[in-house]
Amino acid sequence: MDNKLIVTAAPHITSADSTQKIMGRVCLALVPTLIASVIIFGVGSLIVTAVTVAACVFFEWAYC
Amino acid sequence: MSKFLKRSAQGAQVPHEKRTSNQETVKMPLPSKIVLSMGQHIGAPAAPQVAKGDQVCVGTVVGKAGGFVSSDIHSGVSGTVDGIITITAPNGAPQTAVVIIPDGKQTVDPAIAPPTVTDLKSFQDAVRASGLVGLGGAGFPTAVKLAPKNLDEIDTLIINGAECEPYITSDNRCFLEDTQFILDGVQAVMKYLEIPRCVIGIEGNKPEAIAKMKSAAPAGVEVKELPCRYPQGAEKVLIENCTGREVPFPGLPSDVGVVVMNVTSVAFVGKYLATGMPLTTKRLTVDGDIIKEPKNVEVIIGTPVRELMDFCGGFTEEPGKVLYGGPMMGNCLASLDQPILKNNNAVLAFSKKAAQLPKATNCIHCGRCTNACPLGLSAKEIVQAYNDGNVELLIELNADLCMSCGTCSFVCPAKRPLAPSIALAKIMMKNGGKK
Repeated sequence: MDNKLIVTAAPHITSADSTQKIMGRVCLALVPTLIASVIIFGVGSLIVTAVTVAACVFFEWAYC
Repeated sequence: MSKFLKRSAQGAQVPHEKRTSNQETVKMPLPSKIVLSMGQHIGAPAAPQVAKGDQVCVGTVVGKAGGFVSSDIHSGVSGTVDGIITITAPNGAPQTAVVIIPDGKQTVDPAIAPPTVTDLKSFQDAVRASGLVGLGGAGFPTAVKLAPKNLDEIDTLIINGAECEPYITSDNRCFLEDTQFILDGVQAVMKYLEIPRCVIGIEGNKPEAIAKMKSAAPAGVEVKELPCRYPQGAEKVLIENCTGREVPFPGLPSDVGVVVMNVTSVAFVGKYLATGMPLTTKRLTVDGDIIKEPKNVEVIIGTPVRELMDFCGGFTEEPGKVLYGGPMMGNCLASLDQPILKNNNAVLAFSKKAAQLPKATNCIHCGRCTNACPLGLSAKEIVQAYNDGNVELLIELNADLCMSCGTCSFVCPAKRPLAPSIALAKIMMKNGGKK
């Protein structure tokens, strides 16, 4: 009957926002820029973007 | 315009969860025992005045104040002292407590009578004898607060009715149910301390309370509607919103000519002057996602939390966390056998799922914590200085000004435990650099 209660320091609630959500909004804000890039520089810019994103995600996973 | 562009001291938009706001307070029947902690206030603990086997009545002094900044402890039941034990205080330290088994008769102590108050000194003595401590949660002995050194400079009494924490509605019920006692208490404090003006601050999510106080308030007492942003109830934030004055650091409200009292505390002053019954019962909110019947309860101080939980229908599932107070600044209970204290204004119970906090990730230097801090501190810089052990920088950053409101932790998107780290930083400053 007497189960252990969790004891932590206050505060015991956090806001709904998170780092993931903030960075998601950053990516969304960069989409118009990406579209402009394709228009100005051509499809090659998409390939550059894809390679860069893949490299960043891989090295962050590997080292962080 | 400048307020619109202001990017600092923003506070936080916390969920309201004021589900018990419109429920009439329910009186809890006698518990099986009461456990009266000798340390339910800021200052020196009280000394037990009774021994095992002694008979006590309602209102009998069972603990005598341990100094000037201290408070008497009174029994809320008539019965027999079962013993003097050691319990765990909310901060984890051991604390002496007197256990009393009620006999059910609730015989009132014959010494209880309305106090004779004729002037400032007799008023201060009466407040001291009542055992009143800050009922907003801080538990500061009110008799000490009503005896400031610069009394002739005090020109405003502020009544704190903000109640900015989620879930808690006990102050709101006090506004609606104890309206006359509040006004009597305000009138007494203004009369004996010779304070010409009173401002009652109430957050905008309590429209009935604002309307009721506005219509009942006499001349000299005004009602100020506060924005619903945590922490409106913090003393310094409240003073700035109600009077525009900024309390200097280091300093007290009396330095800017203000005395702040919680609405429940001032209502108790009004009630005590009429009845002479010292502080033995407390109105508190019982809520949380696993409480079967959330409600506002009038409970005898010292009631074991377990019995209070049972009175509210018990838990719908196994509890994860049970808190004294609100989710922003409340203390976790280690056991349901711990008792209700004078300064509790809520007991909240959360499921294991709600009790789990998200994992902390790296700081992204977004600055939300610095924007939100109501006192203008930079939480992330303080935590960095603490991690480096840099006490000089901590002093420069005014880390000891922190009131542990938890706003920084709440707004942090990386879910970093900033407020607890700053509390540790304060201890480091006290110890001169040792962690």
